[in-house]
Amino acid sequence: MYRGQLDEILAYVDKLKELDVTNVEPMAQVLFRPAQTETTGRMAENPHPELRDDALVPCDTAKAVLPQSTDSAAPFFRVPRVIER
Amino acid sequence: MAQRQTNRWTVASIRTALESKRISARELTTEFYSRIDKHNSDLNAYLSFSKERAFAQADRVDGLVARGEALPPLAGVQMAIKDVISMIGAPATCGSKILEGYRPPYDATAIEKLDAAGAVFLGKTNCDEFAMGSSNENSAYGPVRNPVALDRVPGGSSGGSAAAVAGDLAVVSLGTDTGGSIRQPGACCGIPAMMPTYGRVSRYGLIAFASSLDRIGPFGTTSDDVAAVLEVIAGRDPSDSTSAAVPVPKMRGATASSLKGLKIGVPEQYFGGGLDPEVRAKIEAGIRLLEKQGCQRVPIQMPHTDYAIATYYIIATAEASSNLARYDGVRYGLRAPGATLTEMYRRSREQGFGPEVKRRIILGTYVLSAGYYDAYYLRAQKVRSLIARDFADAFLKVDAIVTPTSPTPAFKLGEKTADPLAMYLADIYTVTGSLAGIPGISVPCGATQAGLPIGMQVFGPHFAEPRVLDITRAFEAAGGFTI
Repeated sequence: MYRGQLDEILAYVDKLKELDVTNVEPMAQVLFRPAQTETTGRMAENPHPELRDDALVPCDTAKAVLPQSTDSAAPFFRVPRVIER
Repeated sequence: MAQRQTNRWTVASIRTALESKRISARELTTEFYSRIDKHNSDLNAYLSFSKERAFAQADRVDGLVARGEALPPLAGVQMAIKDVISMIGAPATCGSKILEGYRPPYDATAIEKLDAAGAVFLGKTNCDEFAMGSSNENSAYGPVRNPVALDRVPGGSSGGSAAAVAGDLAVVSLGTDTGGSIRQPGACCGIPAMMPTYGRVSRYGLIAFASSLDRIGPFGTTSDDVAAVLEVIAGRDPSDSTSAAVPVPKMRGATASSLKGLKIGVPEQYFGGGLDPEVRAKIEAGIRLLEKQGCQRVPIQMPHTDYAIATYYIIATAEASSNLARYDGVRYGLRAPGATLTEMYRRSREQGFGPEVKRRIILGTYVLSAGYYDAYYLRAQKVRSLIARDFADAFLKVDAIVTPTSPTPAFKLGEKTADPLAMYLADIYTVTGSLAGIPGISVPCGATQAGLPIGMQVFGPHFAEPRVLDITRAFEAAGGFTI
């Protein structure tokens, strides 16, 4: 089932080859800079708003998280043998 | 068949009723749960309920009323939450067997904000598995039915959130939109549904599908209800580095005095061959109504529109293949027994994921593989730039863009399940805005002769949600929803 469907989808996406993208930059970021925004019309005061303060915050979730596993033995998750002989 | 109610609760009417003590939040919550008891089995919109929390939230609001204290913006507002968004202690299946039994140990930021704003969370809504689909038929927990026509799909992937509001089983709801998953079900079910700008709403606590595209946004029955929810959930969140550090403007409010002089772009490429004639006629009528409100219609060209679906299905599946690698059966959700770790991984994923999710993981892994990365993924990222540039160029000439939301009204259950590519093409008018990162809303724009809702989409530039909402508010006030 998958092979036929994937072949069809791949044939369809091949249409991107029609376009000349020689001098086009790949869009790796969705928002370029807050400076672009029309609401402020100016650069945000923090030039790197995507970076937060390097502050420690508690993350004491082990007790809530471990029981979600089918097989845990605090403080570990238990899994089948990793190294095969 | 559950008809659209004319006398529905809204954010504003709930507030008035609470303040004048005509109803308590607890009574309202009871009223909604009794309607859910009656109708959810027809729609399959909700997967689980958070009654304890809902009544605690309602009692908190009633306490404020009793003490004469100021009510928060969404006091007593009955909400449904798509099952891909984390609520502490509540199931979060993402419509998948692989997350059966998982209960997040924290609230998503959007949930935290809504909770603080006085909302009442009725429960979690059905959706396509991991938000992958356009009909809600990819849910491991059965399809959702369209409240307007029970033999039809509600759209997807946020089908449960759309059906819950359209079927009057919630006042507003949260969905997520990656390629159209809020706007398209909004159109299919005949209600306003908004995808905000990428970065406008924190995604902390949203279970990821495609991180450069996923957005959280609201459904409601009026533009103002959509605005009310968006105003609450918007804003920078240090827990989500992709949330934008831009101020949150006022989104609710009276209709802008006039849309006079506003330039509405109408892209030729969105009115081509695949568009249903009844949908075309209603959207044309909708545009004429906007012109009557003072807008100026400007024909525009968006030359790369035809490449959007191909671009989207490369980028979205690539990101999904990476994001969904975390489901290995070790820490949460389904674990299938295996003699070795690899065997356990393989069996858990084989049993836990449904066919569409597997299809996308395979496709995404393929387009990212060493020999094909440049030909598919890198090329798609470049075409994404071209699509974003189409919008940037257009917004130099116009203030907003108006298109159909979907080429057809809601189709019949089972109609497209055998042909994934045909299903993908249902997103042809919505994926463009997803790729560009801009805000888009779908609002009702009349119905077909058979009574199936039609959706009109309005796009605006990045962070221009207030302008987009001004347009739909004026459209709504002028009778556009039932045109």
